[in-house]
Amino acid sequence: MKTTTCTLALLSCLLFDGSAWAHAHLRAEAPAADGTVGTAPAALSLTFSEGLEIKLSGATLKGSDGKAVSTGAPSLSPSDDKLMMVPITGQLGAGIYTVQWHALAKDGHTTHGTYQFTVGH
Amino acid sequence: MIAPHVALPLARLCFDTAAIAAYGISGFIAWVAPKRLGQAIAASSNFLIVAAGSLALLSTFAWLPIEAAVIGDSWQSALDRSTLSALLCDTAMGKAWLVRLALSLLLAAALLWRSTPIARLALSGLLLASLALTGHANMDEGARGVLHILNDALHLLAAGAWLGSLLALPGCLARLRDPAFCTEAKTALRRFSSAGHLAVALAIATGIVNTVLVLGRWPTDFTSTYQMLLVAKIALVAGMTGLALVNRYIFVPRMVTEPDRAIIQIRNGTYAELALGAGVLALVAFFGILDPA
Repeated sequence: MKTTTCTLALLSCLLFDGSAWAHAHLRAEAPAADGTVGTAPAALSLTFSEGLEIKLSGATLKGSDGKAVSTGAPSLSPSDDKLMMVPITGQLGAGIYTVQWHALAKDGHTTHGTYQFTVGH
Repeated sequence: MIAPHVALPLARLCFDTAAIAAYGISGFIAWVAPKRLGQAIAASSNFLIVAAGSLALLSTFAWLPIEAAVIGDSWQSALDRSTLSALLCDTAMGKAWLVRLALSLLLAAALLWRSTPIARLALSGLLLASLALTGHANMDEGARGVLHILNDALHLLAAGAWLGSLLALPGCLARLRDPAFCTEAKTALRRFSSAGHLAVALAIATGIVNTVLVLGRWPTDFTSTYQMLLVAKIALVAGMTGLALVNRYIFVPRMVTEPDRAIIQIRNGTYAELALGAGVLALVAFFGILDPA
């Protein structure tokens, strides 16, 4: 009886932990969406709900004038395949910037989205 | 021109239908029908099974460029070398596609040359189960991930056995009136009934586990298209189960008193079940790529 209860409890933890969602949703980002940073960041970091296929995921950065800021090749954090980092190689003056990201999750589904952040005061 | 994200579910529908048809008919011939009846059904369903094998191969070929077009969000990406090579070499989907390509080539070869029904059943079964290597079954990590993939593979095989073998059933029913095959056809029907109970029960049980693993809840949030279409699928499967039960427990017993009428009723019930099954495949092909949340 005790074993059955334990097994059921274990199974329900395994089944209903609710942490896993198919499709990569953006969970956190730095610089934060709609946030303001004092100094220009050296990279964008985007944390997703799913592991990514990095070769087919990425992000572009645009200034408020619509001009693209050059970025390096995106990479995954060595310890976390849900964290994508995109180095910023171009100059970032004060202003509003738009990040446009696209993600291919390990399970093969694509998602995309945009957010903005401000550099300066 | 249709958009890539519309072409993808269409390619999935073609593949699922073809793999299930090849697997179900082969299964009926290899496991359900006694030898002579199996040979007769194999001969009369040869065109259907070769067509299914060809469609499986064609839709496998088409899948890679369509997936590339979905990722690039334009048909130009379908033949873009860097997207295709990244997809093929650097993603889990690419590896799964190579497995599927190898299996569909082997199945096509097995269908063109004389191969045993068991070999056809094994190859089409592996091809169908290989669908579990991509999609929502791959969203989990660790032990839960392995459990999810195995459960999805079992779901595909059980549900495919149920739906696919229905395609061979009318050929078996027609031979009940043929004195040369009557005894074997009756044996086949008895075996079909026992195997059918197991396949239906397994398909429903693994379907429930799949739902819980993907959603982590019951599909009651109708603001989610995924959950709405999943409920529509469950309703169609409930209809198929009802038809199967009516066939087995109302029409089959009637074969003793009114064999002619009973055979026609079972045949019509089978066609109705197949029609609902086609609806299930169309729904799955579409909502399987949607976001469950």
